Amino acid sequence: MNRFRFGILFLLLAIGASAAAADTKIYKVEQRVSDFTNTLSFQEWQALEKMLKEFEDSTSNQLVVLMIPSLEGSDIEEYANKTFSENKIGQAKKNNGVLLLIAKDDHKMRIEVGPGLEGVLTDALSSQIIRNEITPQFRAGNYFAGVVSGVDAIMRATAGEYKAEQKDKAPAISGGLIFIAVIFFFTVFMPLMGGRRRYIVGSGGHRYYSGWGYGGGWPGSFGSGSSFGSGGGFGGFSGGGGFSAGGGASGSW
Amino acid sequence: MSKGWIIALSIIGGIILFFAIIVGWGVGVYNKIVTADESVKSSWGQVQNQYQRRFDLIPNLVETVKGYAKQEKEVLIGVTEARASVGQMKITPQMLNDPQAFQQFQKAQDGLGSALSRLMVVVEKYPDLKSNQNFLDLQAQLEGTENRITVARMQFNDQTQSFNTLIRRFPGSLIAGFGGFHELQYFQAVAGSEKPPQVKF
Repeated sequence: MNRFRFGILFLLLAIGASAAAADTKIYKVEQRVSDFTNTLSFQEWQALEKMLKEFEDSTSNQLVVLMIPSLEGSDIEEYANKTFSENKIGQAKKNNGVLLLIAKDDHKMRIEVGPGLEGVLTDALSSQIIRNEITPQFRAGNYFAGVVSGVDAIMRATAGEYKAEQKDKAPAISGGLIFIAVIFFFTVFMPLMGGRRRYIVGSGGHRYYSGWGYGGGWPGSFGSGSSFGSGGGFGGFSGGGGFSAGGGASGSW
Repeated sequence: MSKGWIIALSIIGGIILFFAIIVGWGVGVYNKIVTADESVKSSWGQVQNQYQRRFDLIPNLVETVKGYAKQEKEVLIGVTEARASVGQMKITPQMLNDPQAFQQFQKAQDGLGSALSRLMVVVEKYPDLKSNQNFLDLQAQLEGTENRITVARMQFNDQTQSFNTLIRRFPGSLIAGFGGFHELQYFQAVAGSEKPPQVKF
């Protein structure tokens, strides 16, 4: 019966979507991996984030993992679609985003695929990844292993589709402009910043913290930002302007 | 030149300027309406694409289910018939302001949707079918398509709503009258869809 959702789907055909999802909070994705359930350890989060960052750097595909406690009664298809589009996952013209949404307490998940990747990451393949890669691990309680094998399968499916543009747009800025900017930076900006530079480093760490999950409770002081900074500086996630037409598959465990 | 001439010329100039502004404004509103109309048409194209996708998927699905659940003849025939009635119906963007054609189209598509959901309910009784990889893939495709239809219909409704608002509110309604734009149809929620269908085994 879990797979039978058409009745619910039809509910959503009303003008302007259903009220249920409008009330549910749509998370703003600030990291490629956002765990609002505090399931992943810091090391696990870091490893995943690194995987996804490298993947985006080499392919320009934006793959985002979002773990939330509950859908609060809304439909996972609609919720995933909204989260995808509001966070603009994927590059604007390629629409090459993928969202792996996991609602832990509801035991539901969905792979939402941007139209640019629907050709390689089909609904059937998304469903296979959920059924064969992720579900068995989740059933055994191995959330990290499930996410990793799911992410890995998604990467393998989508890797060949696009290539990152190697700074094609750089020549648009003339050398003269850069020179002026550098001069400006050293003469005006630097003296103004003065002692505040350490604060900037610290805020990087804070951003990591806020994106990673509420509730904290992690041993060690990651608020300092030093561990984040030395970890390679992932930088936050920012959507490239993509949207979703509703492709992908859902599953439960 | 006499003073009278100057006054007359400025009045004429003022009138010309006034009309130029009016025409410019009218052209602006007209273009806005055309743009909105085009967005409706392109989102309608998406709706049609997704319905077509579902249409194409069905024969394969029916064949696969047949292999495992022959006794569900009635349900299978229901799907095939509903598909046939959808197949005869085509809505061009020019027909979007025809309530009757639109309602017929929606009724046929919704009929197919509910026939399919009945099928997906009965297949739950067949564990062999439920563990068949081919069937699971088809099911995923069908679910994905239904979901895309939902999204496409929602976007179409949104676009149509902006278009209708534009041509019904005051300055737009004037220009729409000149340009021959008419109000377009929406998708309505299916009657009785508020509750998911009850399943009895």
